[in-house]
Amino acid sequence: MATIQNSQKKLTRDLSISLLIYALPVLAIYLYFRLNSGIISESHIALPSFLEFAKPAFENIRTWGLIVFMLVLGIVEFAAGLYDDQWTGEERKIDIVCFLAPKLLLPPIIAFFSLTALPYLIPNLQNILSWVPFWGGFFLIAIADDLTQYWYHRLHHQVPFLWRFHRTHHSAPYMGMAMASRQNFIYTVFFSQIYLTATLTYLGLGLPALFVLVIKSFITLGAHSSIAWDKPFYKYKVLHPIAWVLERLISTPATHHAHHADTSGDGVGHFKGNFGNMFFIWDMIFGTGLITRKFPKSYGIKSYKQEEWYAQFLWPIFKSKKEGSALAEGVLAVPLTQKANNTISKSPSPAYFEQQTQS
Amino acid sequence: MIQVFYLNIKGLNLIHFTDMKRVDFEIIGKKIIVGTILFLVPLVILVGGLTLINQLLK
Repeated sequence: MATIQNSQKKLTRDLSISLLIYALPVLAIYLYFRLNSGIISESHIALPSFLEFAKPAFENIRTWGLIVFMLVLGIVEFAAGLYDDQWTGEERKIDIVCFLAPKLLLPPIIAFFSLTALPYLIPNLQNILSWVPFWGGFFLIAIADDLTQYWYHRLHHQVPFLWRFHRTHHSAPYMGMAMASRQNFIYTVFFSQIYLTATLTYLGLGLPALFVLVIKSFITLGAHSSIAWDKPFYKYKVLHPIAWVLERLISTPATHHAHHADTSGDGVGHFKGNFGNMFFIWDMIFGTGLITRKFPKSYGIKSYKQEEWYAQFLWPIFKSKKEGSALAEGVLAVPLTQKANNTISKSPSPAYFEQQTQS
Repeated sequence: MIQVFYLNIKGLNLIHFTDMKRVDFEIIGKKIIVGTILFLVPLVILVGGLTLINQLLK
């Protein structure tokens, strides 16, 4: 009971701190106008002149450039033998499906939300935030998008009934660029931050959103890649001060690979934390971070049964037929009280509880 | 309940559709509720806050 209360207290505390963090960019924008005696302009957000050259590049990256980059990265990872002989069978199917499906299915969904649903629901609010300066919008979107994804991610680890929607992302016994998009589709399609950023874009913050999302994509892709770009920062002493800042600010391969380890509490693996996507700073603030500058020996989840691609992609719409699989028919999530007290009851039939190797 | 059936094309068994039970719809529903809260809370804080300061600064 004490464990549950401590967990609830921590969750309440962290959620309260998050509400303050969400308010920070609003406060910063207010102070900017107040201290500069600025006048709120009705005109649209203007890009700072030194960033004008970057706008076409960011637009192209956002449309087709990132996909090309991911494919090139994947080819490099294969060429370097970084997948070993683990990319076989169901892993290939699930990675390819998860790579392609969101790119084909999500855009029309988001387009419907942005171009049909929002104008119908809030027709008078289009571009009402266009008076926000670019830097303010950038700061706001960066926090709103990433902190929301931190919470979405963390809850899917810590709330038992949500775990199996996120399990697919952790099931692979390897890391690579494909891991960034390896997700159960129901997890992806209900990503809260996608709709939050789409709404803020509708309200007028589209330009800063473009820049934030491109930068975020590169950071999260780099964090999942099997090419550890951060290793030179740990190897060369002269780069250590930069490493210290980087690993606390953003997700690095070292911190995110630790999150994908199949162990936790061994001094390197940390699937119980390191939840940050673009910013690692949330893990620092909420005490869920572990920085070791080391990489786990193995990845994935201990209870993995190489479930069928369709079960991993669309559970609970499709279930696994594998004996003992957490995605099989009739398996229930461990109730939170039992999880906290570490008393998992098993009933032989008709249903049993999934083995909680992730928490 | 969705009926169980096999897709058979030229004798090739493609996918076995399993029944979705009430518990499955419930779990998806709960997940949507969690996601909606995570969407609405920051939206209200941000848009509400910005609207407020817009009024204060005018």
